Amino acid sequence: MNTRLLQCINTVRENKGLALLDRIDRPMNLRADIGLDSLDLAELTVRIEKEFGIDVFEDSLVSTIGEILDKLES
Amino acid sequence: MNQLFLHTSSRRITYGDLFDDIRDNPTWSPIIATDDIYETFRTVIVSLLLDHPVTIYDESRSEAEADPRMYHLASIESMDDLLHRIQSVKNWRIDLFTSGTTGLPKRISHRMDNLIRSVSIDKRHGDDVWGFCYSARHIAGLQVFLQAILNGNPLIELFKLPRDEILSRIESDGITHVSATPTFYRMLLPCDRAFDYVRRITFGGEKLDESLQSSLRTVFPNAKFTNIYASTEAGTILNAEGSWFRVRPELTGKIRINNDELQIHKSLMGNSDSIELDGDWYSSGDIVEIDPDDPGRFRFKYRKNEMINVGGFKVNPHEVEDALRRHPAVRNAQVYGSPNRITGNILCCRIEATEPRPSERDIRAFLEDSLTGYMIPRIIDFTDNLETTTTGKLRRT
Repeated sequence: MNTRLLQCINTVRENKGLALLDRIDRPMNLRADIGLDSLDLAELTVRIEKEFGIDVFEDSLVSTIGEILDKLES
Repeated sequence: MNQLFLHTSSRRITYGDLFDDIRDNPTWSPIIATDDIYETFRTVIVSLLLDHPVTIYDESRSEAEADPRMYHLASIESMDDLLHRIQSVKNWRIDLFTSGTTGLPKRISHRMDNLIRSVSIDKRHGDDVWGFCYSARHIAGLQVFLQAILNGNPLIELFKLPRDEILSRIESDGITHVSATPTFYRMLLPCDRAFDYVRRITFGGEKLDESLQSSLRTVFPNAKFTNIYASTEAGTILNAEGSWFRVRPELTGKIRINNDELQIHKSLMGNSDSIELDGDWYSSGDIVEIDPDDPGRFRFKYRKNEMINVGGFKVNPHEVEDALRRHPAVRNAQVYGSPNRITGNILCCRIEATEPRPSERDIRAFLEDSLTGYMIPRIIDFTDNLETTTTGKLRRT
């Protein structure tokens, strides 16, 4: 799960010319730590939905890796 | 009478064959609901000879049924006889439907004078050979059809044919005139052949970009390029050599720009219960920009309802498509918005690319030079064939 999510995040980072991440941890903030803005987050939701079939932003906004993983695991 | 009238994928029909058919098989239907291009043309001609109204239902209206009946007509003696009879109609009108890309289809009724506003009948058109690149059931196709038969010219069907077949027909049938959507011409590129006997290339139905014109210059080196602005509601309204339009003197006072939107006077419109007017004016939904150096001319920017709201910014999909098409490996592109909880819409595109296919990163990096961040598509899909509508335009969904 973690690796597939990392891949989605790295695709978004790569498309905006940022270096790839080696790992992601639950407390990491998508904006402050991962470096994503609103447009990147919009792109990330589409990529996560393609990969996992789940819209993680369906009922509320999520801001950390842990919150995404919770949604994917539930 | 041995002059070719219509060459379809399966048949060659001369004007003589057509006249014999009209004389020997005296049945017709004032409702056209067929895919058969010859049947459609024959019915329109019979309706003109009978001076009887006719209705064309398009591909999307499967409930429509033909209403066959007999007729009595004097034989057509010659081309001149046919032309004389067609041009003296009084009661004739044709009802068509808008394609419904911008709402429910509207029924529009046109009289002959509205349809042939842009048709040129002249001896110098006697040798023209028309490539037919539209549906016969929509207004653009009907206008090409009228231009051709009123000059006794052959029509060569090219609509929906594969690219290689189109190119070989242009050569084998000696096509001199082509009228089509920019999407149709883009499908022909890249093309390393040159057709120097093609004299006229006409664009219509979609916004024309300059890069397409310059690419086609090498394919049709001797052709005059004409860009037409027309609609099902009004017929042909404007024409230009490139993307800058001027109002022709005879239409002065009948076309105006109001809040950047092109408006057409009701006297130029077909009849319809479903056309909404703002006083005496019809709002086209097409947004234009006036040339600051020459206020007499203007060009189209986008259609009002096509703008995509991305995080509070309005994106014009045509502007993004134009930028994408400047990438050397992009043959054609379609930009659309997909609903998204974070930014309202996320900008997406489908691309027809040449091999080797560029990466998403390549495309995005290329766009960064000419577009600001929110205008750059975030989801890029590659496809072999972009979808087109029944009227030959790029499908915008």
